Amino acid sequence: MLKIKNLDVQIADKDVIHGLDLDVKAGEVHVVMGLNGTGKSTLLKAIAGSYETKSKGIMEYFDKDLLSLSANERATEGIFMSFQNPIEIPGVNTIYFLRTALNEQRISRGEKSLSSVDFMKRVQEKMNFLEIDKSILQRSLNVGFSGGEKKKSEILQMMILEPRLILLDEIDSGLDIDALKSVAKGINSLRGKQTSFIIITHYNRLLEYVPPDFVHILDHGKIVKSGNASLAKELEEKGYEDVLSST
Amino acid sequence: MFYLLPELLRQSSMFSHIPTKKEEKWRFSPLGEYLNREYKKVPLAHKDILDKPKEEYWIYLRDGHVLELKLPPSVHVKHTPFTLELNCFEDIDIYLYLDYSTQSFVDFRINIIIQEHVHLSLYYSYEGGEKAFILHSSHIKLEPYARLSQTQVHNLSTQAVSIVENRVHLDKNSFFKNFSLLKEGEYIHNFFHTDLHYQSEAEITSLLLTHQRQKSIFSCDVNHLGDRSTSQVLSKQVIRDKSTCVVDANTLITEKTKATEATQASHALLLDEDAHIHSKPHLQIYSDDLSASHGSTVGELDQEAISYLCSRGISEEKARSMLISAFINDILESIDDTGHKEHILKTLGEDDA
Repeated sequence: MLKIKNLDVQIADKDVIHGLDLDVKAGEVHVVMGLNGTGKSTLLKAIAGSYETKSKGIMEYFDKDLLSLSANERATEGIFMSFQNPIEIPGVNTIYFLRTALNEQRISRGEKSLSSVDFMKRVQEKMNFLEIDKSILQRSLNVGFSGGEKKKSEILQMMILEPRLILLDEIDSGLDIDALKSVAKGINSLRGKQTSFIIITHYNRLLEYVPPDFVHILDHGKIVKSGNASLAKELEEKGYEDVLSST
Repeated sequence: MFYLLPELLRQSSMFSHIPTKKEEKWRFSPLGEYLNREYKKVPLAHKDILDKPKEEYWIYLRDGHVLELKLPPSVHVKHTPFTLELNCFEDIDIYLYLDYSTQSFVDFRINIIIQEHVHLSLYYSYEGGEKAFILHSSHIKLEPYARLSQTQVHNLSTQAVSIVENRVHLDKNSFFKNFSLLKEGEYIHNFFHTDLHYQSEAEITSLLLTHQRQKSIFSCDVNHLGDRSTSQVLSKQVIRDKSTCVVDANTLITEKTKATEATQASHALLLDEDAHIHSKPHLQIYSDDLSASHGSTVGELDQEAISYLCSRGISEEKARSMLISAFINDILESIDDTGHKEHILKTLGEDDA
């Protein structure tokens, strides 16, 4: 699904990622861990096509050159990124935003836009599943949302848009245990043969609910160690210094 | 018959002399650029109204002449060429359609009296006026406990010039609410001069949307002359291309007035490098018993917000449009009259709202 070779990424004219390689196949869950400032968020932003990043190298997604696509084109191709701190947008009503995003993607893919009735049915179903308070739909996007509501809103968007490659940047940070379970439930509902995930986390607790196929450690903009779920447990027990020194 | 503008201005009811940039009120006005242009006086208008208004009560004016009107007996009307008088004795919603001929010079005055406890809802629509020069002067008197909800939509031809002056006298316990949309026209100047007496209240709001080389000016003088009076002046501007907006707000709180509340706010969104805003919030306070504030902000579209919307598959163009709508939505929400709001949204269309 996603092949990254020799990727260099700059953010604010600073080299952050250097010669990174990563191969993500359909249905796989990859977890990226690492100390703060090692380039984890930058990697996801580069894949999503953020305006902040300048990328060089090879990034293929279903044989398409991802680097030649804009952020909205990548989203239309099925790439979804959940942000660590979702921005608040006053005046943009959440339900209007959701419907615009879904229908813009559908129209770009040559599909018919969803009718109001079908759209609302889809939204209600996902909201019930995630146990989200319906009042957020009429509020401005992320404005006045609690930390948990913001993260759940990101998962709601993910479930409504039904992407194929999902990038989650610290989706578990700041969540209480119930919210974490709810978010994990949302993630697992999309897990399947066709959908892949790249998840950034600092803690093992999300991985207890969302078992990964691969865990990678990122250091100084490069993947320095890869393993399975046990690597995340080892990191939690020993810390980065010990794990990386034994590499 | 064409006349040079200075000659026409000297004969007009609005000007006693030709103003210059040395006068503070006209400092940012491009009026001087029009002084060597010629305009025609239009003595008799074409009488055809292509689309008759659908509203219940309305007045249709062309080049300052009342062509046709539909009003109930509770509104006393007098009109001559270039003047109109309305005296309202019962609550009513009136739509005024004002259109203008090419290259015309129109000097029009409207006098309105709203009787005690009467609520007048008034919608002005200015249209047409290719290369025209329009002077429009409204003199409004609100008797005690009267209410006026006024909406003015300047949707003139892109080469029209329009100077609209509103002089509003609010008697005790009266209420004036205005929303002005300055959308099209080469140079649009919207003046307000409001006198507030005991426990009266004024909410004066404007939305300026400019593009190309347009210049739109919103000038608002509010005078608090009685105790417990309240004023709220709010303007938002969305400025594109090489256009310019000016917001000149001046609130005077006179000596010995008590429990006055006054706020002024101006917020500009600059969409292009050559777009300009001159914002001049000004409070003159001669009393100690008051609550007053003023503020002005200038900003661009938030790149991070655009990026977030794009990350969900929304095109950059659509994302920008959504954020511009978000910027102006709250000001549109402040329009209470649903009929007026529908007209405004229709005028704004998909591009702006």
